[in-house]
Amino acid sequence: MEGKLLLLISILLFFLVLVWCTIGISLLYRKIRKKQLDRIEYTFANEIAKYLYPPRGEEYSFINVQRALQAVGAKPSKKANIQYLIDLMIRAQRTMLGENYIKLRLLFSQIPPYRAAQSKLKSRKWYVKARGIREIYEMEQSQYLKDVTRERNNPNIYVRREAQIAMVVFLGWESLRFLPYLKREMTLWQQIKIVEKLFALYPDPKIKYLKKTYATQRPYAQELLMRIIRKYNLFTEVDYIIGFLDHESFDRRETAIYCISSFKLTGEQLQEVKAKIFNVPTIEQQVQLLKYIHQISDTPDLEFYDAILHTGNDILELSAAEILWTSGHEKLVHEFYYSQYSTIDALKEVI
Amino acid sequence: MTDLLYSFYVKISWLFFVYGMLLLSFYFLGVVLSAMAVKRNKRRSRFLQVKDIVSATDIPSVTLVAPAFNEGRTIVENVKSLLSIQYPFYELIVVNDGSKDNSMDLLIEKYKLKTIDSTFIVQPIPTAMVRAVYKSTEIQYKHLTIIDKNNGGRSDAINCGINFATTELVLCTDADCIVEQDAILKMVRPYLEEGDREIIACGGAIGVANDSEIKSGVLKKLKVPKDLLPTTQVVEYIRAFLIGRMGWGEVNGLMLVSGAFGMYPRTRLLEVGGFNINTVGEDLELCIRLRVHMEKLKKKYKVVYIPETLCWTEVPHTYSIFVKQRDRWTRGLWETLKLHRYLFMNPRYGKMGMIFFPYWCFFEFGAPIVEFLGIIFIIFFGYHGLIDWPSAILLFTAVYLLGCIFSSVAVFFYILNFRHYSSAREVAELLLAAYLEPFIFHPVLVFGQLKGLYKKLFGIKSGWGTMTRKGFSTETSASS
Amino acid sequence: MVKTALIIQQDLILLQVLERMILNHDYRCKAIRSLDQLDIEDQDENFDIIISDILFDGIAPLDYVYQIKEIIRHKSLLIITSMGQKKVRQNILEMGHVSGFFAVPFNFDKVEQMLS
Repeated sequence: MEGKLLLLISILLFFLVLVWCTIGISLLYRKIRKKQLDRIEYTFANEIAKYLYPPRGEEYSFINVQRALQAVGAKPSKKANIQYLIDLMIRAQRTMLGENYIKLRLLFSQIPPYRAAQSKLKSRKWYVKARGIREIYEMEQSQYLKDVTRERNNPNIYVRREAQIAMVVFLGWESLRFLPYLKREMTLWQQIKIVEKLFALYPDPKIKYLKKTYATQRPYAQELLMRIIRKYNLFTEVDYIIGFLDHESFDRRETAIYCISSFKLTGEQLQEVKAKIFNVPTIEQQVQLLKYIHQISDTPDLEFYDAILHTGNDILELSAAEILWTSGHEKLVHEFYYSQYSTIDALKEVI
Repeated sequence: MTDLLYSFYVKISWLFFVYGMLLLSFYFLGVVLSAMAVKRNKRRSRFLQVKDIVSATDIPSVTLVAPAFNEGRTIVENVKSLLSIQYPFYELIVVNDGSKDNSMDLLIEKYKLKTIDSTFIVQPIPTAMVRAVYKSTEIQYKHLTIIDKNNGGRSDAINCGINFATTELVLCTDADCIVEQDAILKMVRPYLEEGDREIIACGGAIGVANDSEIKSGVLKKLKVPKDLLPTTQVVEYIRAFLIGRMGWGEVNGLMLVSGAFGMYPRTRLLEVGGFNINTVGEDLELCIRLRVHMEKLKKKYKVVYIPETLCWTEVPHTYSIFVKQRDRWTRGLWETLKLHRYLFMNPRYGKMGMIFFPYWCFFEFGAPIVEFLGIIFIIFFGYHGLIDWPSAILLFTAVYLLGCIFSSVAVFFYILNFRHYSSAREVAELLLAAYLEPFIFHPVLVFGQLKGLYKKLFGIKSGWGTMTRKGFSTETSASS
Repeated sequence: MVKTALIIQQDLILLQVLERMILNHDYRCKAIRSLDQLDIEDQDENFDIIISDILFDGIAPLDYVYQIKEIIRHKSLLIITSMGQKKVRQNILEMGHVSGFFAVPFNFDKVEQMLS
């Protein structure tokens, strides 16, 4: 017994020493690596700046940038450094528009790494593949569109998300021919990213593509369409959002309430929203809609608020009373609350 | 008689052995699961970086609710720090929970507060009376709301904040916590990324900031605490958050999101009626109730943890305060487990009923009891000469080394993935504290836990107790 | 008289490019990545332009814009930030003393136009 325990202790001690060594090595490695990456970042930023705004009287070409980067270790033989360089390139490109953006694109097509993203597309590892797709669309390498489109239903959420964003980047509004009919659902971030990319790259709305997709029954697609309508401020399409205000799904209603809040409505639409509020099954969402109605109405619709006051729900009642109170209809609120008590004594008791 | 005693000794020894091995297996599994979770989290974060979120438009709005009670000494600086959190759709609600000091006066003066018309206060969750609601007249503080209410306790104050929030998500913390500037940007990530499961709660790791450099309410330089007690708690927190919670999160088995830093969808909080004001373990209780609520709704859900330390707090620096804290935590655990005892081995609640809840009963609640019985066992059988001391000492050494390895791996995980404690000296200090833990820290911890159990067992009334803090030594920036 | 500029941007790439752009317009330029790098002498300077982010540790974006007016003398203030949502932009412009607000990604040519 004692022998076995001693053996166990020796093994555990050995393992403990191993953990210490690993900690030591990783501390050292991290220090060195951080210095290296900082150097690459500084050089990259400096070279990009000089390339975009060369000092007076100096010529600054691709080759200067390439040499400087190679000198700090960003060369094809060092894969990790090259990956870091690609990340920096994407970061730089995503901060600029206009002339500088075009200049940068030209620069990045002239200096290594070349075709790094293509090999990543073939990788079995999801994070490598997803990264490859991201690099393809960020660097606008549209020649790989076919390969990327194939991944739009990939079981891995990150791979398919990047593929879907790539489709939007390359196809613009036309991507709406595919997006509402994908097999798997879309996360909120996917929707946000798609809408943002579409808006950034294709700011002119093509409503015909939007209208064609209205028939979709996929939950994520309906939410995506509502978000697009909101982002582009498509007043003519607001009815699509209104249709979801009293939808049976909590999430669909949530998105509809969020999206409609940036619109002012016509009198007819406002009446429709007022009618729908009574069908919304969640009180919190009813309150949100009530606040929205108040916000976009010029004068309070007393009949409507009176109906709300008589829904029998305390929270709704209070919210309606607050709106009436703040819009100068204190008398109505007094009347309502007095009417709750049959006798003056009952009222006094409450007070 | 001796034979009978010996056979009893053997049987009991086996029971302890099996319990120990089971606990060890859970720990080992935790290490493996958390390693997977942390690695995956790191990979995923590359596809949704803080920079992407900060510039996005349709992201959920967030209200940070911070209750404050008698924090006049630091309240102005703390609010300033909370106001500076970086998030585009951010509101801050500070709830003054009936402070008896000058907290309100200081806030009114510094932030130029004015009361707003609160004739109609909609309070979906009932709370102690709200005296007034304040907003700042200064444009730069327009996202700040201060609620002054009668004292009702921490949970009541948070409930009040939840009532007044108008955003989709609510982040609950304490006014004296130091929240990382990009904490919300990181905390909303799971809400943005989850597909078919609804995130009902999200927690972030909490770190120990005793003796660290704080400037304008921002942690400028994290230092290892000077004293052994808080240093040991650094290791304890790292172990609990990085190994324990990340591991449980991997199998959606998280039953606790720390009250000091937890984010929830406001609608779900209202549906379950907010925090329970009748328990001192309100964070655990809320998390379990939210899970039960979703089980009843038959909706898919998830409770998640962010491995990065997003919130810094001051931990007890004296043994007496430490004992009070652990005594309270144990009472909270007792109350919550008792309240939700219907979950125990209840197949209707799936894994929660069959694995997660029983784990809490046996190992989180049971561990101090088993340890206490273990000590009695050693004394009793040692007295009767039945213990083989050389073997027992060797066994103790082996178990001790296992504990050391476990703590060392946790520290290794931490320094591998995060930027804090990056010097060899700091790591050595943490490891040393971890290796001393079983001799100094742990016995006190068990004492605190047993004290809590004793109070519950004999119905001794006790509330939160006062948690005296040293307070962070803060510098004020030139800009303030 | 040489014009002076102060650039405060955490993003190194943006900082360097802005600095080069400013230098090409014959400004004397101080480019820093955090507020900690501000010196006491900066308070004596009356910068012709400050180009700054709004995301800094320990100070809320709106408060920062308000404070910078009080602390560093300047003729015009340009905000360039990744937190450029409509609501943030509105709030900042409401404060009244901001000459321009650019959300990243932005067109440098427009910033140049403001310089000249």
